[in-house]
Amino acid sequence: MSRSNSALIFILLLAFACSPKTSKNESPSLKEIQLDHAVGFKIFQGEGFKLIEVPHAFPGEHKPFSYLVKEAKDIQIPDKQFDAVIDADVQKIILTSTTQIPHLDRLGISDKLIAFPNLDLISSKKIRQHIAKEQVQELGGGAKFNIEKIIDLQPDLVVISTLGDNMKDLQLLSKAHIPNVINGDYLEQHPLGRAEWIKFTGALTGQLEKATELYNEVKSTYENLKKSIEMADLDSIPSVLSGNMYKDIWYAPSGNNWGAIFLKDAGSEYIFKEDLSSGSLQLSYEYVLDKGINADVWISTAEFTDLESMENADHRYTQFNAFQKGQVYTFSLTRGPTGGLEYFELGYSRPDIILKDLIKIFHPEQLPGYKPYFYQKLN
Amino acid sequence: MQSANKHTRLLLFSGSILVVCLFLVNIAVGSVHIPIEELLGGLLGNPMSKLSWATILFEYRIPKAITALLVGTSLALSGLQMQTFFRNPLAGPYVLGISSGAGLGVAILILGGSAFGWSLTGNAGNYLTWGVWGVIISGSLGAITVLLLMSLTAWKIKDSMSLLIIGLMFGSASGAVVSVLSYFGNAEDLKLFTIWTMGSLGGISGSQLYILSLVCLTGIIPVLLMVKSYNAMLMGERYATSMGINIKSLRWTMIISTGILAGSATAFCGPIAFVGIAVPHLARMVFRTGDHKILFPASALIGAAFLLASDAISQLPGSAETLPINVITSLFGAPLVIWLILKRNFSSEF
Repeated sequence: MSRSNSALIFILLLAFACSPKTSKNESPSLKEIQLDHAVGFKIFQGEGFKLIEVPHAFPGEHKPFSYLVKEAKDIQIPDKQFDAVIDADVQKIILTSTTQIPHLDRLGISDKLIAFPNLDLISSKKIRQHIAKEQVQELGGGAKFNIEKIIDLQPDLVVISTLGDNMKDLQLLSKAHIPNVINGDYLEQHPLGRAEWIKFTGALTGQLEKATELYNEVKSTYENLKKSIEMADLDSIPSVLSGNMYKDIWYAPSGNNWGAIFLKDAGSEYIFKEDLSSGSLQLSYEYVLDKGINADVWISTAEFTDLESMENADHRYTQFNAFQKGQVYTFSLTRGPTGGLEYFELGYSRPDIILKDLIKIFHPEQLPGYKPYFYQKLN
Repeated sequence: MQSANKHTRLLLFSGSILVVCLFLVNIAVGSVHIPIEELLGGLLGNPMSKLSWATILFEYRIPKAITALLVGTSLALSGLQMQTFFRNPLAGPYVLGISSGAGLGVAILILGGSAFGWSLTGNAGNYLTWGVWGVIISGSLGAITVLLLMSLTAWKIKDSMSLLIIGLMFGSASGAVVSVLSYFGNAEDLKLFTIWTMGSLGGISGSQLYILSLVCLTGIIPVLLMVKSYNAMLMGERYATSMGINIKSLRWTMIISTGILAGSATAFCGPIAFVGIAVPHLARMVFRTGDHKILFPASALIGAAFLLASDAISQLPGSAETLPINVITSLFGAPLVIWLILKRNFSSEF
């Protein structure tokens, strides 16, 4: 063996010696808790702690985030290995997205919310009562939450939804020893995947069992509804147009996204089901008109209150059959007392309600007596 | 047109033919392929074999092409007037803050409600209640306000460079207010406003198109009356005065005309980049003249042709997507302006 080879082997051995020990996931003491639909996070059970990994916290490539939830006081865990270490017995929580508000309500810990950016967006009755009593602080209504105020409030847990553009703020919170975690529920494609993020909140707050029960209820309702439509002898399968136009660009859910899965499961034929892309489609008016002029139903995604305001906004809407026949529905009429859209708060957690609403629209005979919760017809 | 020689007449005639051809190309291409015989049949009044084709052609493509024609003409003419009036080769609706003013008007309308509870619509609901007209009216008001401020400044300051700086300042100040509104506005409103800033020729039809045509024609009338005065302005205000030109009335003519032309184009279609600044230079280059009797029709033709061609490209024929018009005008306009600055001696014409 030449001298240079010996040196190379020595360097390699040294490199291996310096490399970290086996990754946390491979530790024999960790047991992965299987999830059902969600792909954006993983939960592992350790001895006296839970480990949560978030491989998809925001769009694009990034290192997985790992959070440790201590379930007992006396366990010793080196902090530096984790992006956050949280005590399961959290008392003060800050959220930044309305989609997680129902998690607190349903887990019975609404009173632990101490601050939120733009309180007017919150529709939850329980939390509105806390806001009325001034128990929930305003973190500012702007595009960025007030980081100083968060530090000043010293919460036990901050759950943040981000596009990955404010990592500096998260580092600042970590420096201030404020445990902060990223919730990427909006990246989940399947409706039940988004609903399953209640387990993420459950795991962080020592309520995973309860969260699992709540999720299972939603899942079973959703799947029963879906099955009932699959088995039903339907009169017809309506074709559905979705989305809205902003100037010359028509935005619609792509054929494989959250919104489109609902349309399929509710027993309709989505006209863009073949158009696959991540996120939403951006189509030209001509293309949409050619494909959708004869669609039976139009599920609008904009905040119109009636057909007249739609026509005023863009005369081209009137060319569609669904518009002419008054078959336009929107989720934007159900608002909380301060104007927040309930659909954007409760919708993620309760895909069963959205599905039920859509079934009522497409196949009213299947759900006699049911009144849609989110969706309403535009007149 | 007596002063125009044979070569110029031929150029203007070719330009007119080009605009007609581009108009036809513009209505022939789009995301949806309509066979050419169907298209011609439809234009000649024969029924088309698909209802959606007829709708696309008559309700969307033809109004859009007419809008491109009108807006291209308006922006080019307003740009030319401003460049002559301010005696600055880089003047135009964009540089002098008119577009920013229109943007501010529209931002207050769209974002004001969700950001600060400002409502231009009173108790009638949100901006959606007013629909397209709300955007048009608020954009016009914003553009006119900035133009008036600019013209007041123009009376005080004779130096075109200083004016340009002040114009940019107005633009920056409007931009800052827009930023504040954007920061506090909700996501839906912000999306709507952002897309408005990218420009759009579609969606103007029926009564809106009549109004736009009427407004543009109204804006062109003062230009026709003042051609001689503009030629004199190139030599400076003193020279123009010595020639018997009434500078005061010319200023007002310019302000009214450019305000109507650039303001309405921006209000109806959003800020469309580069047409106002690049086309007049293109006209000077192609026609090799500083005579406004030729430059006005030449700019109008080139402006219309430029926007019709840009719109046809922005439709990405054959694909389901479409690009905002500004992407295309800027892609073509920016290199053109850079090239002009590098190549030409502007001072010889100003």
